[in-house]
Amino acid sequence: MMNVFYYYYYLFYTKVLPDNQPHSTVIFTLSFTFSLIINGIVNVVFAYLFGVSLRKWEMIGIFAVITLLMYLAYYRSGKGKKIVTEKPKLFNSNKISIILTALLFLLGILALFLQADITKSILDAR
Amino acid sequence: MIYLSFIFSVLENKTALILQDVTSQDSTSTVVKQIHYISSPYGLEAVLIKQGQNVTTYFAETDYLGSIIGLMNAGGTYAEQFSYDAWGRRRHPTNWTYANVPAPNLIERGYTGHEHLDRFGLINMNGRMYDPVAGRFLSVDPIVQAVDNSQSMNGYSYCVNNPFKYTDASGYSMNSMYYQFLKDHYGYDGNNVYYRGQFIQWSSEVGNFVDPIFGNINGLGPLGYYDPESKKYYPNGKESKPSAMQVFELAKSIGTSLSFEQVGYDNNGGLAYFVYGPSYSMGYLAFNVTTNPILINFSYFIITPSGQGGPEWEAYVGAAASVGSELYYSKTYGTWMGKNFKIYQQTWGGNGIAGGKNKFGKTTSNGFKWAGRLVGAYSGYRTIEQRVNGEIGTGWMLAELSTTGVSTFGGLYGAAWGIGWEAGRFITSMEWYQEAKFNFWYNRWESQVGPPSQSNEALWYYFYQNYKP
Repeated sequence: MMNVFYYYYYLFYTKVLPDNQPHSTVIFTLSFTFSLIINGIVNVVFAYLFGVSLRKWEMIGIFAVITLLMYLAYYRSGKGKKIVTEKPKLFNSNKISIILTALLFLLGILALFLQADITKSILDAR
Repeated sequence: MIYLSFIFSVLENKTALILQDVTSQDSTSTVVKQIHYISSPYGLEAVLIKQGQNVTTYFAETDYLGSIIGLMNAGGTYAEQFSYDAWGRRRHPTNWTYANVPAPNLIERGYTGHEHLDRFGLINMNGRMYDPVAGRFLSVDPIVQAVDNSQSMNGYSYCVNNPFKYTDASGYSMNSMYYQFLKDHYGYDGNNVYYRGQFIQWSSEVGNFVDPIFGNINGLGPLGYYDPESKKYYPNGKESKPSAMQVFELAKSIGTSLSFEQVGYDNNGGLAYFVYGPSYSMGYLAFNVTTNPILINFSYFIITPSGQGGPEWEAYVGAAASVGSELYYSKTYGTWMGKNFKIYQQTWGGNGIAGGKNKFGKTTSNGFKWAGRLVGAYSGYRTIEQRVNGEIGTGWMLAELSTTGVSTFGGLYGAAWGIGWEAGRFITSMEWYQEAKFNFWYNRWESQVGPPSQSNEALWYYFYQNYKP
């Protein structure tokens, strides 16, 4: 699944919005997307259970850890380049792969825009 | 000589003090007994009794109405227990009968925290004397609390004959949600109201609360009626025009974390309130609230939408990174910049760009690009934190996040957007802009409340206080 996301993010940064460092950009944006989702979940759960939310450096810390893991897994190991040659697909379908990648991106955007308000409303209600 | 409690109350004006570190005193020819009632915001906590040099602390046990039902000594055992029926008549604490009810030894207060005059079988409710056997006051209530409630028409009845639900701290009107509102927003302690930490005195002459600065506070006194069902307050009965309280309730249904601030009188002598929403963009100004209520949306009227201040460091770094990245190496325009700060046009087919001559430009451009991206990520999480902390509103957060995203990943167009955005912030923080803004809002304010005069001095004072350049 991750490989598919990687590949289609790579295609986006080579064909739709070309970047001269597509691999690095993919790792950065994928990490940021996942960090938004994870931070969002942690924020909501912590606000609900403990009445606290993450501070910016804690959220940035989670982002940094995810980026480091992604760097080690895909860039340093050379797996990213291998994925590009393998062209992985979900259920052997280009369409499904694109839809799921777009959904991941959408989830990240939703987490970016909604997590603060949701967290705040939970904290206010406590 | 024994001082009768009710005489003492009158002499010492105890009506102003209900369980808020109340001290009462009973003396004989030889021993003076001082009783201190120590309360917290949660009610009565302890009673300190000083007799001669001896001071004894008792921990108070109260029921949900605030009636004192027990005093415990330091060891946790009862020093004395009390019991009252629904209407406040003393009864035996163990078998709840009226036979052989022990006379209280330690304190004279009990039912709903009020002072019992056991020699007379009465309870001093501060404003009026109350007979717990009859369940009626001895004198008529000067206030009709709820014109549409037949129970309220009997001026002698106690708490609209619902003693399990209400209490009567003042002796004039039952405590209700309206008083809870006063307690929450004005520091109402049962008898007195504190506004902005300042004591607002109850005036029996005018039958209302009186602010030492603003004078008689219409709508704050117990006159009028709060309808818990419709959650509306009617200062002169149900047929009257909507009040500040109603405005507040309306605004409350819109916002989540509102604050409610009285700013003085308007031109017609009515009270003016500001009802703040969770951000500057949500909230209402309510004035003429006691005469001809006007509710104005803050979004179009509030004087100080001063934005979020000038740009901060990450704005400059982000904009510089976007520009630097494009300047040193631009795929869009096919240009690159050398160490000599000269911009070259790429000629893919020729020999101008080939041979690694653009390596410096590309590397530097990448450096700027990654700096911009990192600042963008930082800025995103910073904005989320600001929103969670309530420092910015939802609209502002969405605008900030969108701008951060566009300027970080939008290439040349994103850079242009980011620069425009920050330039806007920079311009709005300049003096000439602030002056123009001031004139605009001054005129708007003047058209709504009239030119500055004695009658609307408080409103204009508020204007100047809140105009934040």
